[in-house]
Amino acid sequence: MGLKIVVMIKQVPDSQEVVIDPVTFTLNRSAARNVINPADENAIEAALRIKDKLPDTHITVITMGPPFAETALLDAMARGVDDGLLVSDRAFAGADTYPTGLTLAATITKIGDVDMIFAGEESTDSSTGHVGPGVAEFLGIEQASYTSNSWIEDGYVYAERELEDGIETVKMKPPSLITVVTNANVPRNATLRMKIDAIRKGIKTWTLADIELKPEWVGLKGSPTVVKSMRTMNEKKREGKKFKAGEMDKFVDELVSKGILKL
Amino acid sequence: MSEFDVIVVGAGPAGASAAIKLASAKVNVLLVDRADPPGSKNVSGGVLWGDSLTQVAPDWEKGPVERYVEAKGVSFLTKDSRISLDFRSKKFGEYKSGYTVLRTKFDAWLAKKAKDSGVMLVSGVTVDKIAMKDGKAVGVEQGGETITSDAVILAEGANSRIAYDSGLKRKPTDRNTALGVKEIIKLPEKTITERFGLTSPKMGFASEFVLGFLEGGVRAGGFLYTNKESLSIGAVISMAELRKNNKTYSFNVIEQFKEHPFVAPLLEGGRVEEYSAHLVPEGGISADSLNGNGYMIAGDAAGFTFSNGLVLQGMNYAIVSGIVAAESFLEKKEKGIQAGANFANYTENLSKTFVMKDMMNFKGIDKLTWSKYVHQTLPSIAEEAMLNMFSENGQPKKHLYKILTKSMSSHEESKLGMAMELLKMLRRM
Amino acid sequence: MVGLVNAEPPEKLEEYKNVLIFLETRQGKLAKPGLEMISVGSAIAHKVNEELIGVILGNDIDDLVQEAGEYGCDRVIGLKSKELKDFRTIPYSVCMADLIAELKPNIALIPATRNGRDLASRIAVKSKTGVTADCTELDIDPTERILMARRPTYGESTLAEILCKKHRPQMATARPGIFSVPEKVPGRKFQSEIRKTTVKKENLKKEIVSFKPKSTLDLTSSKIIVSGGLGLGKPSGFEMLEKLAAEIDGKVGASRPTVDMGWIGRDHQVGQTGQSVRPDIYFACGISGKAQHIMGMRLSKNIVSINTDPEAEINSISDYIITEDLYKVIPELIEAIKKKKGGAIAPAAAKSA
Ligand SMILES: Cc1cc2nc3c(=O)[nH]c(=O)nc-3n(C[C@H](O)[C@H](O)[C@H](O)COP(=O)(O)OP(=O)(O)OC[C@H]3O[C@@H](n4cnc5c(N)ncnc54)[C@H](O)[C@@H]3O)c2cc1C
Ligand SMILES: Cc1cc2nc3c(=O)[nH]c(=O)nc-3n(C[C@H](O)[C@H](O)[C@H](O)COP(=O)(O)OP(=O)(O)OC[C@H]3O[C@@H](n4cnc5c(N)ncnc54)[C@H](O)[C@@H]3O)c2cc1C
Ligand SMILES: Nc1ncnc2c1ncn2[C@@H]1O[C@H](COP(=O)(O)O)[C@@H](O)[C@H]1O
Repeated sequence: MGLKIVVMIKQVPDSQEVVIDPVTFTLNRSAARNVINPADENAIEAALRIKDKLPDTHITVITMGPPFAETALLDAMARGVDDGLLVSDRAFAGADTYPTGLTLAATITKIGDVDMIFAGEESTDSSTGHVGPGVAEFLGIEQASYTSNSWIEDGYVYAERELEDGIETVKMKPPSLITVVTNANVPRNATLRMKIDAIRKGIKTWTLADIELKPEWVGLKGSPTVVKSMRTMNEKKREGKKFKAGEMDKFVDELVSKGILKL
Repeated sequence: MSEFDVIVVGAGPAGASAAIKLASAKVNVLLVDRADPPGSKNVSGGVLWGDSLTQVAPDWEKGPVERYVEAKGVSFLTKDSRISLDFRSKKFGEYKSGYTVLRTKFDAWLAKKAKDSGVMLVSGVTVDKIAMKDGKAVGVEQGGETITSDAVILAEGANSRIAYDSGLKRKPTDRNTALGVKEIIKLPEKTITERFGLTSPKMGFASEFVLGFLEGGVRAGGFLYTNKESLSIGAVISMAELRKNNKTYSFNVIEQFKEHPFVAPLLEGGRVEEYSAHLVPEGGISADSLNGNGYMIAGDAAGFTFSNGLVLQGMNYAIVSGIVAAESFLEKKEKGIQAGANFANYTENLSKTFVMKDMMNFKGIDKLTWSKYVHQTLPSIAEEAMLNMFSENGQPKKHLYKILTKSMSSHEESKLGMAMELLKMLRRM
Repeated sequence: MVGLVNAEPPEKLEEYKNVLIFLETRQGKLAKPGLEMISVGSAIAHKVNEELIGVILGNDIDDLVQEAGEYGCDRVIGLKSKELKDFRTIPYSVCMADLIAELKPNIALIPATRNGRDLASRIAVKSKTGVTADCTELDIDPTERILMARRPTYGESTLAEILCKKHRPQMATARPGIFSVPEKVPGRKFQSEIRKTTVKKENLKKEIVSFKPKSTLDLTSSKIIVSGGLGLGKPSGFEMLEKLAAEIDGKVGASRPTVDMGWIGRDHQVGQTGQSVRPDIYFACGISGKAQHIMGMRLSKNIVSINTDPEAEINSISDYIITEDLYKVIPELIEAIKKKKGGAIAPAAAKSA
């Protein structure tokens, strides 16, 4: 028997292309293209591996985001995900993790009878790692975060959590939510055929009305936290003093005399 | 029944133009590009000459163009000097010059245009090859699967892997390929406008350079173009030159160019934002045949680049050849097309355009422009002559003719030989 | 389970007092990131004359409660149960949320470790409040008692200050390795309370099948780090870095691709997806300095770049730039250090003689 799986993905600016201005230390994101959050690619792959074993499994990939996040959904579908669902509404703009989790949880509730939910460990642009567990709490289900491997056995979900001090293997009953670490697996590539099929199939779009939440519960209005200010980090001025091969004695003298190295 | 009427491989200027033209005529087109978004890996020095694009995108001048070229230059660099021709004209209003463009932005915009006009655009997949059946192209292959179409337009650019693998084109030799390297250097808009003496922030400067001063006598051409808030600077080095001077990496050439005493000040305060390298086909048409059963080859993939070692033009040829390929398909379609039909009409139609005419007229020009005369001898004669003319050394002034003959006689080449070369060059340029 | 409801602000904000911290345990001991909450938490609490309440969940926790007091908690609450022996999201989050509902703290801080983040978001949702993730600076506005939670964003280049004005508690997770571990003062006075609790069966559905401990390398507390990147060219390059590190009592770090290629263990990785370090001196050997790497080390007091490429991005944030082949210059550096040490010992030896 197959499962009903939802993968939550987010579109982010490609962090490989985001460059730090060495003078102002601000980030130039304008040049960066939008991609699927790297850990979410691993989440998609983790879900697909379950489908590889249990072919009747149906996977829906969802994202809460602007209309152009459609490309991220199509990309996921081209890798073998069955459906793409964009949850998009002006009211969702400016959401912190609480309403983001709430919106996604409401979407999953509306989809109905979901056995497993996959998310990335964290997104490269907000890097909180709080959205996945938040969704699990709204739904009142078990979770395993920071997993590098997961599988289904005898109707149980097994997952290996990568912790700072070791690897913990957990066992839980569906429905449950799993967050996946980057590098957990190697995401598969889409073929031209699959990309064409995904474009032909297209995605579904839901708005606030479809998920039946109050407008003041979502987006900026529904966010308990507010960003008060942003300031560029006080950067230490770095001199960039040059030393050449043959000058290592001089270099060591300098480090020692400045008290940076204590020998 | 084929799945698509036409599959276009490559969403550069050639492929995108072909796709737009076809989709506007309600043809079912698939446009595939290996980069995502399309164009994000494409490189050009960056002047789109002429206005061929108007045919498929009438509003392109309002699109992501950078500056309109009102100042055009050619410079010869010797170790200590820069000898330039700097042409600026208000008449570049009536006579179309060109716009500088940044390819990443420009190509993405053009691909979006294609999508909006009804093309199915797929990016981020590399087509493996043309699917052939009984000697006819019937679609493309990717990841072991075939997508069928009545025709394929191959617009994969200079690095034409498909064309080689499908035997449509000979592998390039060192002699007819060059390596183009390019950097984008960020500078404020105002600085650029002032530094290059431009009449407004919308106006631009484009110049080619003969880099005769390079270490070890390496021959390379350089270019410097102004964008809105950046400069495109680059060098073109023939592969043969690179191979001969195997220590001179492309990187080194562009560094020497940037550090030249009369180039460096133009770049001052700028920061390198992007570095890229790309192959450039030289010496004209490289495909054995521009068309065959079920396919046409357009743009750089066919070798439609004009390069004399100085000027590099290809986008305009790419656009025109793409449009002509589309038109040639439409012509056949009207007559009730069969999958795998022969597109001889493409080659015919092309020969009526400036694309083919330029290719024929300038055939072999690169041999001359890559020569020692152009790179070293002429510039050093000119340098000597100029120094004599424009400096005051307490001696009575001489006539120009005398100065020239004196400078020339200090070089080994015979006067006659040199005069011949000069003539040849003038005739060809 | 809270159901699909919004975050609800409480009516009387002034009822909320004190700073509550989660003292994470690992394998029966107080973990360093939890202890770091004591220094930052007490600074905040004492600034507004409130208390720092440390919370420990587990089974064998009596000694830990004592220890937490000695480290500086004004009050320590231990929740004791066999079911709480190992960290599990649901039982832990239920206990924490219940305690928060009872104690009404103004602020709750949790270390931004893996289990900490796993837990924090669920507690926040249960408590219908907001949580600011991965803070590197925490302070309090003394009049309004508003937590000023600051966290790096956009690749660590900007620091965002995030406030949670209307909801309580004001929650934050704090990045490990940023705040110091306070000194332990034996005999220090504090209140403590150990409560026996039970966990409802329905909350115990997740089972821990096994735990394979791995030796971990904590780079966050090292004063000297010698890091290697792809510029090493081969796995054995790290042996040379080990030699250098051994000579100066440092630890070895690595860029992600070297870890991905299996040249060195993952616990050596520095950067966005590795450890955030701020040693006195960081040697970047054959590391280009891509944004994701820089994120994890740019707060180092001194940075030395050894890189053949004079334009390497890392150079723009380096105090010392050595544009050389690392295989040429590191052996020389090791020799120079040995020589210097020899030179330093000699006079001392002479004196004692
Ligand atoms: C350094 C440099 C400077 C130049 N300066 C100028 C200039 O100033 N003015 C000018 O007019 N021209 C200039 N040119 C030439 C110009 O760039 C080319 O002539 C022009 O880009 C050709 O267009 P095209 O569409 O044929 O190919 P390209 O622009 O190369 O596009 C080919 C496309 O095909 C895609 N592709 C390739 N293989 C595959 C595959 N297997 N599957 C799917 N997609 C594939 C690529 O991603 C690419 O988007 C310059 C070139 C260089 C290198
Ligand atoms: C989501 C995400 C998260 C990431 N997280 C991290 C992270 O946590 N940590 C991390 O490090 N990266 C991370 N990365 C990868 C990061 O983007 C870079 O790819 C990586 O930091 C580059 O590693 P490097 O400097 O070792 O290699 P390279 O960029 O290849 O640089 C090698 C350097 O060595 C120099 N060199 C070569 N030979 C020599 C020699 N003989 N002597 C001296 N110098 C030499 C070269 O000039 C070059 O500068 C992440 C990427 C993504 C997408
Ligand atoms: N807007 C969103 N839509 C769908 N999934 C999201 C969204 N934001 C975050 N997620 C998921 O939650 C994970 C953690 O994100 P974050 O908490 O922002 O670090 C991501 O890897 C995604 O799987």
